[in-house]
Amino acid sequence: MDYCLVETGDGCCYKLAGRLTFRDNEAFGAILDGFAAQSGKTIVLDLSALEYTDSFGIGLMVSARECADEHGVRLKLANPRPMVGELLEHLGLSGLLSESPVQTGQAGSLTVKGLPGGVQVAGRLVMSDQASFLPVITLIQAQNGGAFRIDLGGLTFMDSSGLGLIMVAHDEARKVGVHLELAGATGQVRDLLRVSAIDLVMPVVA
Amino acid sequence: MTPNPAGLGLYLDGMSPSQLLPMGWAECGFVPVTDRAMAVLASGNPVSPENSTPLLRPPLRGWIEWGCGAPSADFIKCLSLGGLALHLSTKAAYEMDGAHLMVLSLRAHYALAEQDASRIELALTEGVANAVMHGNLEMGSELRERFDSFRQFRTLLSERLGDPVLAGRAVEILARRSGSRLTVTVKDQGRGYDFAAELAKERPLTAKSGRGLSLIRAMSDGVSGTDLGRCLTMHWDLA
Repeated sequence: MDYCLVETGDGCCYKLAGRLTFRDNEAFGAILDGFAAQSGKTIVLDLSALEYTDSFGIGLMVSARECADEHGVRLKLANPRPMVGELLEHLGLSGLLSESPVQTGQAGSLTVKGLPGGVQVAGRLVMSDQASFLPVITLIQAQNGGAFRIDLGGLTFMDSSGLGLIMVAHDEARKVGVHLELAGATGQVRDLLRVSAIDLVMPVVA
Repeated sequence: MTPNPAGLGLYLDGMSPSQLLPMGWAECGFVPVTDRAMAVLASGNPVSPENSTPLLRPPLRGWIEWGCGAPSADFIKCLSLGGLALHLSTKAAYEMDGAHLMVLSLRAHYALAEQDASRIELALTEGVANAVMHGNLEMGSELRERFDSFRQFRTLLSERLGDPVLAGRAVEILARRSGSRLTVTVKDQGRGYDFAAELAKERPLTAKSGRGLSLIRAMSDGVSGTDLGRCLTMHWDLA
């Protein structure tokens, strides 16, 4: 399963894509880790690009509902494809779904994909895409120590506003004892990190 | 200013013939491509349907968005000298990533080495970001310094992008190649600032903002600011 995060007016939206199975336990756990920071807000799990799930994936959705209740988050599961919707209905869990389609908006040119121990960002990180990066900082805040890697391998362009966001992420990581590192930058992004001497502030690995 | 199906009239009304005609307007073709914009052509070739965004593929060389004032004399001069020119509202420059559109346009008109294109894009992106955020929208950087104030920054940005006066100010991006030299100018209509003092400021490595001008200087072969910082001109000596 892949997912990207999009900030919405009242919380955030995780757009799930691909196949959600037992192999995605850790990736889905990273999503749940971010719920605490959204207390009192709305989290949407947009299932419109989720092609397949099984009983384990449905179990993860039930966990998401419980996690949301625990943290006072309004959770909406929305826009399932027929296969996923029918499976939920078959298991008597269609009540998990929002009653009507939920408009989640378009993701910007920046996408964020959860990975074990961090995230992978792709696309362009510029002034108009800052909102798409904010959930990454929320994820970092929800970590309890340890390491967090931001894989920049899919990033084709970043400007100083993107660099500023990474510095904000670095500040937030330090507050919660998380060791933040950047990885995989290529081309213009690698050049920008180099000319800005970011490796003197945080680890930058190939 | 309301859209005019005839295309050019309203701008002519607001500008003197002595300002327009000697600069070569008469040699250009004008085509209203949407109800919000007008394309400027080097010849009378028709605009194809895919030219519905300000991406300047030949023969398109200019783009004037309705509703954000008349293009400047520099805009006219740039076109008359064979350059590329965008006249966009602040809102459009923000939402459509005007800097990226100009770089794509430059690549459509001129052969640019990959390394040159990369340097140009970063410097131009920084220049347009300054024009939009600090210039026309009059946004400071303080709220971007901390995560807990970042949402306030987003709210304020959203409010200003919804303000017809601020968001309706024009941003112009003008580019011209002469031999191996490429010159790109970004103009805004903000309050201006002390360009020299800002350029001379040292920033800590951990700065969350304020790197733009130093990056422009690093990524270009020369930069200058005029009109109280409202006109930023960069140049590159291309490979």
